[in-house]
Amino acid sequence: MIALAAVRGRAASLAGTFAGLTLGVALIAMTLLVHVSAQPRTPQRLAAAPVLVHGPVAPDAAGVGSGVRPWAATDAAALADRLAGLAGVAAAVPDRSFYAQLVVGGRPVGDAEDAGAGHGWSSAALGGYPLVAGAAPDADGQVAADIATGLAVGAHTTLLTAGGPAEVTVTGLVGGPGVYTSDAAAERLSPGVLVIGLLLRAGADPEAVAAAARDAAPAAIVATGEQRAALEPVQQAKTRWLGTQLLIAMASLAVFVTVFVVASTFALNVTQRRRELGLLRTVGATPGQIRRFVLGEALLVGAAGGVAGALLGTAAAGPAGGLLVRWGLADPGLQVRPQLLPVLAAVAVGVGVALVGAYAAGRRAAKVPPMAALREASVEARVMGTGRWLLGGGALLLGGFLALRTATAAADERVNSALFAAMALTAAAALLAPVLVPPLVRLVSWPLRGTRGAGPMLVRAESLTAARRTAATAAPVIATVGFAVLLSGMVSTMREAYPAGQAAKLAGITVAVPDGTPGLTEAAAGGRSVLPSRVYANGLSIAAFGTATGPVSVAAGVADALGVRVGGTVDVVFADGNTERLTIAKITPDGQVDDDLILQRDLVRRHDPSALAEAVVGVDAATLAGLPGVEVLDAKAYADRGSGEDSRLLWLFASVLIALSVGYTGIAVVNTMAMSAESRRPDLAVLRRAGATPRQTLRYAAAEALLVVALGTGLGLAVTVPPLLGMAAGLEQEVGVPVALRLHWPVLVATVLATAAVAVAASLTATRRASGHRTR
Amino acid sequence: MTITTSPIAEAVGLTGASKAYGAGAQAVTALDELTLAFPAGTFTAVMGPSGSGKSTLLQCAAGLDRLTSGTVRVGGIDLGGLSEQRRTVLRRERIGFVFQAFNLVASLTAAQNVELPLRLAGRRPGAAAVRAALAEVGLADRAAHRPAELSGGQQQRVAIARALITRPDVVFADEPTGALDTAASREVLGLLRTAVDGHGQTVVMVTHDPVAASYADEVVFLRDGRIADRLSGAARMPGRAEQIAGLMARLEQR
Repeated sequence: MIALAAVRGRAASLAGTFAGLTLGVALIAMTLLVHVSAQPRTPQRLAAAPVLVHGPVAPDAAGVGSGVRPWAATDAAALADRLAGLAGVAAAVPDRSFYAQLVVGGRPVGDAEDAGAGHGWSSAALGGYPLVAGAAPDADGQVAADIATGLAVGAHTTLLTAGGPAEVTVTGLVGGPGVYTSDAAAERLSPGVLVIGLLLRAGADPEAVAAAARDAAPAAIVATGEQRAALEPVQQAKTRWLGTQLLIAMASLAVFVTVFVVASTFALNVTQRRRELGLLRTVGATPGQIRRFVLGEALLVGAAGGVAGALLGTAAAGPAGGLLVRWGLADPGLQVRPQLLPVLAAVAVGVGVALVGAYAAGRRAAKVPPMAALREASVEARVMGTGRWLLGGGALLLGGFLALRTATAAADERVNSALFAAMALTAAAALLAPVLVPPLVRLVSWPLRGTRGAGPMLVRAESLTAARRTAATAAPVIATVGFAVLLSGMVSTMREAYPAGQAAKLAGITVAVPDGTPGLTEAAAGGRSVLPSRVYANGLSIAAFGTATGPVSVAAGVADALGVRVGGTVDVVFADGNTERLTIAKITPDGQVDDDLILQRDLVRRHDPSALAEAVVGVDAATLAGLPGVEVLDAKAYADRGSGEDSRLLWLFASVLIALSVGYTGIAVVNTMAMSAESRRPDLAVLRRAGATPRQTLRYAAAEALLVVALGTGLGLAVTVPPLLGMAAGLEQEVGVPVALRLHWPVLVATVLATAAVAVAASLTATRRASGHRTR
Repeated sequence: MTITTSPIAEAVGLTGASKAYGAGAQAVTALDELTLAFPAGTFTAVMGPSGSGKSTLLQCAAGLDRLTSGTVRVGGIDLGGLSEQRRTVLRRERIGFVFQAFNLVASLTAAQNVELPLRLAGRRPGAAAVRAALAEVGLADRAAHRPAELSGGQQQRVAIARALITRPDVVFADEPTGALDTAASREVLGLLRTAVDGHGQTVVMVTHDPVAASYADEVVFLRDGRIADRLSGAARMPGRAEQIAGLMARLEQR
């Protein structure tokens, strides 16, 4: 009853907590829904085969997605023959994917990231793609094209495969994506087979067929229904991994900021209600009951915010999924559907977060002595409890540790590591703020010391005596400024570092890069550049790179996973399904890009005819003229291009997270300012009685708001410097040129000004309202 | 309601009670070896100049604050040996409070404020009992009003209804009329008097208003944490308030 009445009675001061929780739960529900919806799905082009048979799925050594171990052509053919003989099976189709891209009007068409758009004609049946016009390709130089390309039957055009461009004739048009060659050509381009699709006779039970297939092929994996999603292309897994990174960052930021907002508003709440809590104590409430009131209040607000957030999050999930698709962070086929479990989980997290945020406040409330009801003016007795010192110190240590770790983290973990470091340091600053506030107030208000007005004197004195309240009001400002400066600074620093490092390496050299294609054909690369492929060893899928010379070398982390040392041997299955025994000549330290496994280039080419080359350094532009799918750049343009995609993604991440955290903490700023003004009511009355004009009182309120923003900005900047320095140090290691910490001044200035404007506006509104009321 | 076995049994007693604030040279002695008993079924007023220790006496006697040395007994139970939890429960069961101001929880209605001690004790308040308690203080028609909608006197009467609903042995009142006008003060004091005369409860009231003190059976004068004077006699006798004022004036001059 009391918690309920308290919530009702102070709806205004709880509005901020409610809004914060609603947003938090909405964000968590949204990210969970998108995440759940973005789980691997059976590729569309295999969906018409109810049963898929493939080799063991090997986790990627780098932790991104997984790979399927390929079969050699003869093994696949033998297995397909056996499977075709099973009852209920109409056809067993060995499926091959390889690089193939049509050139229309001199430009390669289709997905520039897709290195597996080419298939043998028989694969079209696995997707249920019909032949819309013409005839199926059954000889070299013939292809069937996606009807969406706009090509006509009989058209002569150019087909790019890993070897280079070749003239082909379009013999047929398919009602589905992909480029289809004759099965014989497909076997030459991709000798290895990843999957055999079973097409069933009418009325055959997929599960019964699957059971028979398991007996026929004991070493293979037989997948039906949802299990077929394991055959998702690596590219899609990568896209999802990137999207997941953003979702994780968003969800963790949401949880953190919600705890932060709830904790700071509840702390302020308890500080302001000392009298009432004291009264409850004298009337017979035990400390335990008081703690439960505060938690009950949090539970009520948490539940209300949770329900509102669940609705909001469900509504927002669809558009959010659409945005992810548009940003290239989710598969275009993504469809976000409302589901109960993720939404319930988000509500539970919201309620839990409210309780966690209110826990410390509840403990403090329980310590309010009954005497508090009797004291006329309640001056805060002890600014820092032992628990607060411990928590603050712990957060500081954790933040420092994470900032240091940021310097040594792998490139793709660096952003989140810096984010976590900043979170810990923000929490530390907020927890330790009561100790930091007095010296900072003295520092900030130093210029006002000599002025004659009563305002500066009052503002200074109030902020100093009520250090805890000042700290609670400044806390959201710390978070706002901290996150905006951190995220924008991260992008600025990285944008500076990557091109600088690349340009330094390639000074004065021209580079051939793919243009509208996923890689360079052998015709463009001329046998010189790095040739990436994937191999399988000891149950792992490993990125392999063929280089012109050099012994077999392997990255330390991969060597550990494989359990090999220098001089040891390892059996490696290549893309064509054949195995070679390699002797490890060298182990390289981790953390450098593209060095999981380095092999001789011609070895890679021999086993992977469809491997595409990376950029070629030092080419003669003239020799490549007229070749489709290749572009020649100078060092600067190449460096900018190379970091362009990374930088676009980073800036996207940063913008989303800045908008999120700033919008969020903005609510908390408004809330704490309004609450603080409310608690100023008696002072305002005294000021007015002492002869202050309304204009003077408002000036006094504005000055105090500005002081708090100044404090928060100072601390916010302080918490971002260590993670940014860690980031700069890590980048310096990676790119090999000095990297300076860069702040994004426009974002910084805009954030501080916006926070100041919001804080002053909230404070003035609340003060005007408070002045209008009868004061005791 | 507690049945007292003997009219002179003590409801609250302090023995050698000392209370010092601060430490070392800055220590302030608020109570100095004070020994005093409040007999059950009596109305005692505690008076004294500012800083005489009267509020400290009330807070320590009620178990809101702990003594530096000495003992406090409420209904024969030594408060010194109890944990905060036990003291709270004891307060809830045996003691009621009325303060000068900030008596009510602003978000609760008058009826809810009155129910509060019962609910805190985990008891289900009967609607009839709450109505009766409010009727007793003349506020039956104000049950659904919140404190902001009540006058100061009405708020104080709600506070008294709340203090009495658990039928406590002792009611401690700290300047209950300090913020009220003469008429409202008279009503509030009359209600406290009724608690003693009608229900046999014990009232201990700190005040510096001689008129308020004249409602008490006994007036205890404090100075520097010690008993400076005592005045017994029938309550509300004509001329008694003037007599009390005279004693106060002398005390303050000394």
